[in-house]
Amino acid sequence: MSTTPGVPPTGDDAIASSGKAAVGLVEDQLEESSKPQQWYAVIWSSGKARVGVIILAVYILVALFAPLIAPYSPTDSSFLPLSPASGDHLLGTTTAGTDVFSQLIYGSRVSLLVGLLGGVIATIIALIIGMISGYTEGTIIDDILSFFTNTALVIPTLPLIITLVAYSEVRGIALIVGVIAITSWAGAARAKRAQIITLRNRDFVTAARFSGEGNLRIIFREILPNMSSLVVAGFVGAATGAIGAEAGLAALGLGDNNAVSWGTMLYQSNAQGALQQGLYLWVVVPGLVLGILITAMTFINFGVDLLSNPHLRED
Amino acid sequence: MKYFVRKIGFFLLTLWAVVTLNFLIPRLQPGDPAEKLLRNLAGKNAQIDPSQIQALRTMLGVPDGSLISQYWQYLGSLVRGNFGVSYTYYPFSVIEVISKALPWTLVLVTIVYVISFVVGVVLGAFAAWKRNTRFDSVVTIGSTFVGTLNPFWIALILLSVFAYGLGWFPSDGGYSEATPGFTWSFAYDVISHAALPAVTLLIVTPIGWILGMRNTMVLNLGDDYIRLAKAKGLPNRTVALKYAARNALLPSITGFAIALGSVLGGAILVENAFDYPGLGRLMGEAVENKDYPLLQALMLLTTVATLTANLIADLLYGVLDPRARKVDA
Amino acid sequence: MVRTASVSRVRHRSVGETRRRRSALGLLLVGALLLSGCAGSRIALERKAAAQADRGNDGAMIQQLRLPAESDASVNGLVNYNPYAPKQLTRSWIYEPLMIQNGSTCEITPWLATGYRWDANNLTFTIRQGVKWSDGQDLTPADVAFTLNLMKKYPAIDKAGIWNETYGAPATEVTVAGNDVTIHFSGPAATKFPGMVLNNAVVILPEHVYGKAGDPATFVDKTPVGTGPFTVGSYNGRRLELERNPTYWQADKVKVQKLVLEGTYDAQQAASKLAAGELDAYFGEIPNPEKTFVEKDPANNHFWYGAAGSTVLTMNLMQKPFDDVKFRQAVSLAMDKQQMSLKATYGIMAPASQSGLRLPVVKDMLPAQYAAADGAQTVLPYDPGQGNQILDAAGYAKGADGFRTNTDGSPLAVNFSVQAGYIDYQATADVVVAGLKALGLNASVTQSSPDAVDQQKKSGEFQILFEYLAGGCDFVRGLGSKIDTTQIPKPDTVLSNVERFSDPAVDKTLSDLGVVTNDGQRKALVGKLVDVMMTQYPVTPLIYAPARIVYSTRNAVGWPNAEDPYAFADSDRLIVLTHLSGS
Repeated sequence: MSTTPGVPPTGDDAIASSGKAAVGLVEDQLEESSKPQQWYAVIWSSGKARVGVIILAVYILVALFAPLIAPYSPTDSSFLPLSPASGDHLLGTTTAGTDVFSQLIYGSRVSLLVGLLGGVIATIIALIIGMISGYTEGTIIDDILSFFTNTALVIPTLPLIITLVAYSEVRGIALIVGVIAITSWAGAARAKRAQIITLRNRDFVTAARFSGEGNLRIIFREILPNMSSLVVAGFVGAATGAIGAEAGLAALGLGDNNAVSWGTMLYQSNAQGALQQGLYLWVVVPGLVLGILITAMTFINFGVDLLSNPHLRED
Repeated sequence: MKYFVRKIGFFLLTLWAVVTLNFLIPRLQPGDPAEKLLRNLAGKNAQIDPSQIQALRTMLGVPDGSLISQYWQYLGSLVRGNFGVSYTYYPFSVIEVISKALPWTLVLVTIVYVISFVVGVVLGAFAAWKRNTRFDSVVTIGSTFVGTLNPFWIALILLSVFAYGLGWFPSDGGYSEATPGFTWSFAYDVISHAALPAVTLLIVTPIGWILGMRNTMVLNLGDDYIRLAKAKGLPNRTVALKYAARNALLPSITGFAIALGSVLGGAILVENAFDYPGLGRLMGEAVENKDYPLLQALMLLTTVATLTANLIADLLYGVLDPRARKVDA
Repeated sequence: MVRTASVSRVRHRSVGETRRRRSALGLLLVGALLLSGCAGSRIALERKAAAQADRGNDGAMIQQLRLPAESDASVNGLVNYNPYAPKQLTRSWIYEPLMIQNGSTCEITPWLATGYRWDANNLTFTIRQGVKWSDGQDLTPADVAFTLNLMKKYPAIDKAGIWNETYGAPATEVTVAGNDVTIHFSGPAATKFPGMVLNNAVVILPEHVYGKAGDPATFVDKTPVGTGPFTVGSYNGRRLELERNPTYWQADKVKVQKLVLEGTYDAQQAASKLAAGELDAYFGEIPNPEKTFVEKDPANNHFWYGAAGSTVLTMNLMQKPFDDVKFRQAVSLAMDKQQMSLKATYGIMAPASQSGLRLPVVKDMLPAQYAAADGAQTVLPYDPGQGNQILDAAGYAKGADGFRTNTDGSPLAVNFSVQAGYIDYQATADVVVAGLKALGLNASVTQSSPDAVDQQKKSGEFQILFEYLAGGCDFVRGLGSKIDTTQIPKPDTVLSNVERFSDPAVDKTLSDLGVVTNDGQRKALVGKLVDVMMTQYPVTPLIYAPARIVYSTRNAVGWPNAEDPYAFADSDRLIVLTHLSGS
């Protein structure tokens, strides 16, 4: 949680910050597994999460079918610059003569891609480090991994990201995803470590150990399935963070300027003085669309929270 | 005791790691501070005269020697408390520069953090207590939506409406005509300049506290001791305030300590949008000019603040909740 | 995890690049007006400027003039007026240069020196009498000699390179005789002079203050003693108020009672402050100034983006196929400059002349064969058809994939490196790539950080990029440096000749040019450089790059503009000041 200024623990991080909660949660969750309710059903049971899933689905469809929906190529600058909104250009054109609406549609691809990749990579790193660290608790391996985790947690993320990106030679999507992923795994890793510590002394793990199963097998076969909700929550959280971070970096002019994203739209419109010139749609719409996507993701995370925290369920 | 020793040992080890990272990251990238500085002074449409570069390099004494020897020099001067001279603000020392910017950030961001913490915790507690009512929905949904908006975008809109459009607030700077001092006119000047940046931060920061507090409190409300309290017939209000809220506050308070350590992170966003004369803008400037000494000192300052806050939070936690010593050892 | 909202908002000014230009559309008309405004004869302008200088300034007083802060520092309250520090609270109004060559008309205005002359390798300035420092003491030739010698002792403040080898032989000593101060150089050094009279590179310091100050590079000058038109009134950490200096040596020309410097504004802040009457002029870029500013009050709101140089397409001459002049010629013909002007500058900045000169301002330097119609034919037309013919004839056949190949049949892909964040460059790059594609080339754009592009310039590992060609008054440092073998970038220093053009004949021309003091000879030599540009295409000028001013005439009149481009507002502030009066 401390990766981001001012934002206190939510989701998986909340678990990490409260040992008490972690213990309670895991127990609840284990109880839950006795009367199996599939995770998607739990998420769907939350009204907010339902709304979030539906909105996200719409965004995904738009991204997939962008070429069919968008009237023009987002980089086609052959139109009359500064056109007002009209039938031909639903949101007008930019100062360079590109169609704002087409950029908006194609922009969804970058956001979702960054969210997916950033979320997956950060989750994988967090899983590997958190699980190994937690399972080997008290050994030198744990000490080293915990040291990395805690160091990554306290290094101020935002200045670090800006410095890394500002000084990188080529600003592509890969760089953005990479930087976001390597600066955002630590909180989730600590949460996973905390949970695995409580899990590994459970009977079924002890049983597995006595039956001679290898450590890796125990970690990934016995323990991991019991942590699925934490993993899902971590993924959704990391994906949400990555989407926002990409947009933020791009809005600062540190994004991948070859790609059309909502963040680069914000950057360009601001740099071109769009508001001064009365091109409000160019500024307002990308910000709103982005806000709605992140809100939807956060709503989904409300649903995911229910997995690990049955008390939160809307009964 | 071992718990505390470990925490302090970790503090020192992390400090070293961070100092080393601070040293390495800016240096692994291309770019010469003298050239950058001249380029930024002249704008990109200017031919930089070789004689000017030569003069400025002589002036800044841009570091030479191998990375390793630079590293040792750097460590040595840090130990002596010498952070060097800023390239951008030559010949002023990094300490002088930072001390001019620090108060602005501390005041703006600290006040905003305190307000948003209080607002967030209170709203979150109420939302949990009134769970599944309209109040709960409005608070959670509303705060989620505004809290996830892009602050850059919020700043653009606020500036456009309230500064450029209506002209109610100034668009830039920390103050303007008044002479600094403890006078009403200066205070007014400062407050009117801080209003929009503060509002921007206040829109996006409470969400974390609201959701965090709400979740923890909902969790607590389901706990046995609450059920017991209710069964004993204690009034609802007493149960909510004395038991559930108080216990839910613990993680929030430690979270707050950590958040305070990351004030600079929050400041970067707002200060650059509103030209606020604090550490955040200074950091942007340091990145832009490859001002290694300044950048290193700022990163160090932030990290030490975060680390210290973490250490305090950890120690506090160890004292308040003995179980943590085991779990988080 | 990273929480989304967080990273967001360092405004482009801070983390992004400092300056950006850009403006409006539908402004072709305005562009045309500007052009015609620039077209006035240079001689007439000089006459006018001279007349103005003689006449003095008899306009009304201006009670208060408000300009943006000159220090772009983000931190308030660090007080330093040392003119040789990288940043100071004001660099224009307290310490003054010997002479000023304005960037627009290139006219040289005597300032603290009343004149200069070259005598073999000795440069002599005659120091003006009757000038007083603001503490009442007289400015003496000894102060001038002291300042020049200080640069010898402390190379860090030798911004004009007087004592080192850049652009001519180093100085050996400075002597004083009566009112004359003479710098003795160890060899030909004519090019040192233009460096000394530009951009306040040499400003004179009071010996009685700086003589006791030690190293002038580290000296923090809190109570400046200058010869300039203003003295420090008050500074509250953010707002610097300068008061008119009543004992200024040309006080009759200064009509500004109080000068207020405050704020480092971005385009939107500046536009809104200008419109609200809280700012009188702004020298940075305001996008689409016609629409965002002028339209709000056409009688009082104005702007002038004069041509200070040009953005040039720079191909790496060390690599195939760019080493082939035919190839470069074809590319030069495929550049749709009108489109670039429209997309990158709202049609404000005109297409640039292949001659490398700022036309029509310095059209007098054009050799006879290009001089027709003020050199209109030197602005190459957009003619990809002809470009294709040239490539066909030169043997760049099209391969199976439809793209042209090298003459030896090997595949040919052209990559363009553009600085990420330079929005106008990016817009221009799109048009460049469209032009390359029209030639049947397999072209693409890579956006890299400006640092990385600088690195490519140093290492020579690039194919095509944008560079700036200074339209400076001195053709050795400006146009000449682009094609000068000695100005090829070194691994640790970016120099001008990024394309790495090298021709002994050109080097000879340049070294001659560095010595001549006769106008006719100078024109003949510059003509040779122009001919190289026109026939060898070392670089391809695309559109002119601006020196800007956006101003309001509600409070003050006399600003330079297209009709009277007597100086560039940003770089020649002292000159502009003597033209201002109340409206």
